[in-house]
Amino acid sequence: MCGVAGVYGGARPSDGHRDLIEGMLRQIEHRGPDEAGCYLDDRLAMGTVRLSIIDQAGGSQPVGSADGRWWLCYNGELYNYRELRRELHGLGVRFRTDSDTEVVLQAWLTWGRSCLSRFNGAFAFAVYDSLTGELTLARDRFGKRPLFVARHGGVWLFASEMKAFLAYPGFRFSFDQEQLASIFATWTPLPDQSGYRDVEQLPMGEYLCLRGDRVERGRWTALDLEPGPAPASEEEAVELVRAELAAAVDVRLRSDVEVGVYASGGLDSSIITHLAAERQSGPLRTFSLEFEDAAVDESAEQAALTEKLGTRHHALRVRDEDVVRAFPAAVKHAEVPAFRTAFVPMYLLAERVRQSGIKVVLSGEGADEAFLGYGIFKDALLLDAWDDLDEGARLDRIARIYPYLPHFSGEGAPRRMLGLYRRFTEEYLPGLFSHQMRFQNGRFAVRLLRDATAPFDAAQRLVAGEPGYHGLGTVQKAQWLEFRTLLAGYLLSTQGDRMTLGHGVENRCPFLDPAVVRLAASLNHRFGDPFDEKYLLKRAYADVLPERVVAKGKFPYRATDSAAFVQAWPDFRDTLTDQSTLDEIGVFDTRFVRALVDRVFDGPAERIGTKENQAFTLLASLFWLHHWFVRGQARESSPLRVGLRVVDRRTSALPA
Amino acid sequence: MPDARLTAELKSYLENEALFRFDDEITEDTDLFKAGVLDSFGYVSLMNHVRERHGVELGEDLLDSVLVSLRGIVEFVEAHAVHGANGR
Repeated sequence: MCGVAGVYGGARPSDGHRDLIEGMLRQIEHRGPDEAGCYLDDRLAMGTVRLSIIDQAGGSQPVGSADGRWWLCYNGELYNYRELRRELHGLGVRFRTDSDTEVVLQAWLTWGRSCLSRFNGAFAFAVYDSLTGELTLARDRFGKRPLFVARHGGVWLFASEMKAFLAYPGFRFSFDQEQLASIFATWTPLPDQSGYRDVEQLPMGEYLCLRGDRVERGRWTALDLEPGPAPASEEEAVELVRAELAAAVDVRLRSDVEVGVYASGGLDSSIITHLAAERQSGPLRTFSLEFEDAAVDESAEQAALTEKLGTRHHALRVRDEDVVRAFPAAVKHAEVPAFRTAFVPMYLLAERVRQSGIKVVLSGEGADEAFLGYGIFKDALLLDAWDDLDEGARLDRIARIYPYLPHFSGEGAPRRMLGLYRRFTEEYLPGLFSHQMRFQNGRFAVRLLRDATAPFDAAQRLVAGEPGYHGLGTVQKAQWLEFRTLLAGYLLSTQGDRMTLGHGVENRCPFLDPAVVRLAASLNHRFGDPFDEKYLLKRAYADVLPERVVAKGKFPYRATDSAAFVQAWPDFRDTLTDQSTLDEIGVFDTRFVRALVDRVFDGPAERIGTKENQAFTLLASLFWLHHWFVRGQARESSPLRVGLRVVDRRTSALPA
Repeated sequence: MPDARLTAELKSYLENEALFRFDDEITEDTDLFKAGVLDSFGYVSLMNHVRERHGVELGEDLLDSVLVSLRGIVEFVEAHAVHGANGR
């Protein structure tokens, strides 16, 4: 795993290119602390910081073609690189290294852009044709690896993390009000959003091609959730699940360094732990979080799992004050507003993993999206069928949607929720039917912002512009939205890639293997009770996992929110309400900010619910983003800690 | 004519719960869901409050038939309150 950065075009003299790219790479050196390399010519400066995992000795970057025409800066892992290498070899391609990076370059040279659809991996890269001057940026299908692009005075900047742009002379971050409103309302940045003006994400599954002044954008793959043919029987379905997940874990264990697993104690990561453990000769190393708060702690399930599978387990106990202390640093890595604090413990866990000498971890991320694990999919089922159900059926289903939330369980609770659900049986946000209740709840946090009038416009534009979206069923639309918002915009990024790579650890997600996602689409809701989430996964692994792990049911991973700040950092109140800072940030409705901060710090505690916690976390994260990015305090000015390998093709560097 | 005491009590409750003030923008007739004042959690709290304080169960009927505004809630509670239960 690695980080890439670059500068293309514009009328800059190229004599500063080396220092410029070194400065940009320094900002993201945590992603690849093992090596750094760059390619320079008169149009382009681009480079990579490398975390060496496959072909540690031979995989240095940038990688060039034998004739020196093509150059690749690559961040990612191609899990099927051996198969592609064999195929390319059969076509006469000769390889100089054993790295997956060279396979990417040779695939590009052989098949052009259409090579992307053959890739099973997590990646973002820049490939350059030095003859024509064409630079192509591309990103993987689910948004596992990041790629940000900025325009600045006629120049294109790109990088795995936005903080690299801080090293570009004259570049300044400023918040984008409209994007912030959308992020606060829908929880996460949408696929092309960054939260800042003139900075965009290259959306997952897309490419951006630059050639002089010509700009071409396109999509190389769409998210296909259409069900294929159903297996003949439940037994066959179970066997297919086992086979595809085993294959997905097999290719993700390809590594020249030891691979560990995040074992939260939940069903999904327990399945991955089981599959990894049975494929490893020595004891598998597993990592998990423990919390003081019994309501969120899963250490009993973790113990049951790791004892049964005989793993070498490392548990990190995280206290509220640890979350508060690490919050600023974790936000610096997250780079975008966060609606909950659960990413912070993951930042601390990644640090622990790295200290243990592990560079690669598998996780259960993606299972809830692929196999419909979330309550919001049951919401969608219920609301879709509302008019066909009698009151008894509606009540029965409501009671089974979020059994872990107190206001959904208990005597009489479903009846009280009936009226609330009825309110959302009509689509009043076009295209966003399944998510109307969640987004409605997001309006509270939007009130933190002044001039935030249309927080759902961007999300509505996103789905309106998606070919085929309107033909999807209600549950598939909900699934599509989860893949494009919470998964890519928070779980894989803020809580995933940014936290692990913050400590030079690469995360891999077997549930997001394209074959697994495709299979799940053909199995979902075809077997078992759709209100018994992930029925087939439970059936497929009940015999090899501890009973309590399978029986526990959905248990969302959360960490303590505002109460932790009140306890551990009372002075934060003064920071958050400092008028001059609020004025400088400029986007807030200061009256509401003060009211919210007073509520959180003065209580009473029972009046602080999910919406207050979410709004508070968004507020707190925006304060730190202002500090790190808008004020530029995240910038590292020291030189790279590893040497910079330079491929210098600038005119000035050529022999006279 | 809505009961002034009931209106004042519910107004104060909603303002405290959702950190806002009824004014020119959010009036007694504003849809409190659309304004971002009520969300699903706030709705559940409101139901609990009205049940405990006024002895009325805010059920499906309210959200089914009327706008969820301060005036709508007051009228619903008045219509459904058992005589003598108000201000219990």
